[in-house]
Amino acid sequence: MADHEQQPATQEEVKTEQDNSPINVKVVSSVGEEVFFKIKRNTKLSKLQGAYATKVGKDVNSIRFLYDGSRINDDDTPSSLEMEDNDTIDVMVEQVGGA
Amino acid sequence: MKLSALISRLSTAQPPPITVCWDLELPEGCCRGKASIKALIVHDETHPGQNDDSLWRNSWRSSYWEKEKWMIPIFHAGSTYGTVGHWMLAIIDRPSKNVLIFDSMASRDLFEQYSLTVFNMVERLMNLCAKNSKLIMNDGTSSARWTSQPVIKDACQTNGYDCGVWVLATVSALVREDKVGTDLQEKDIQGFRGYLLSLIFQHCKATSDITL
Repeated sequence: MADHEQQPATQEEVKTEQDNSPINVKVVSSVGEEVFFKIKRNTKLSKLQGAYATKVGKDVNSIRFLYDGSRINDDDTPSSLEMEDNDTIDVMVEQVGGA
Repeated sequence: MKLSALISRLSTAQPPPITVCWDLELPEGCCRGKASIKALIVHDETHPGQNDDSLWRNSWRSSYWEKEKWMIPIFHAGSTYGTVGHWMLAIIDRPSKNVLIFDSMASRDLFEQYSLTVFNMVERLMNLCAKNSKLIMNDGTSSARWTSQPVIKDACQTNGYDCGVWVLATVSALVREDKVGTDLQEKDIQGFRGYLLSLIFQHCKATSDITL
């Protein structure tokens, strides 16, 4: 019967689906302004960085994103950084000094 | 904080638990001893309102409470040197209760301005540690006297673009030689820039971040 042909999802598939479930992330600027994003766990955070830069009208190369004090690299994902729902990313503005 | 404001605060009934001393020589053996890895915390003076949550979030992974010495880069965004900002470095030596400020331009005004700012951050970090980890740091800021001193009193930089490299040279001297202040001279800085670049390339090659 048709019902028998529909195979239940394997544990691995369920796990993968759960692993890629979206989480809510708060991006906070150094003056305390907050922007909220929902992002899948396996999506590169560079996408979020670009979206944030566009939203606040800044060049993405002029701002730095930190998670727990460490720079976020373009290839990082919420999953690779072991981020959890409602975690916070801090944004710092590039500072140029010479004298 | 300007000197006048500092004097005003010093004259109040509750003096800050730090003595700001431009003229004192560095104490013998200061910053010597355990060459523990230093905590590195970015202090963004352009946003002094950085709240405690943000400060804790960005510093707890360094386990700074386990380190005897901290380094806090300072960015001065004021107009002291025209439109460009200025990088300095604070070295916190907890055992000797010293805040040492390295400024390649050796500005007494900036030293006096940032001594108290840095010490306030030290106090905040200690309080955050107690609040979040229930670990009380026994530095006793409220009962013991801290001192702040400049690392150098004569400018080692005469151009308008090397302050950040001087800060890195000072970081290198402390991390690699456990020494406060670098032996480099201004003529050496260009070579030090090249050395730093070679280290970056080596690191990239080792981690395969780029293809050389």
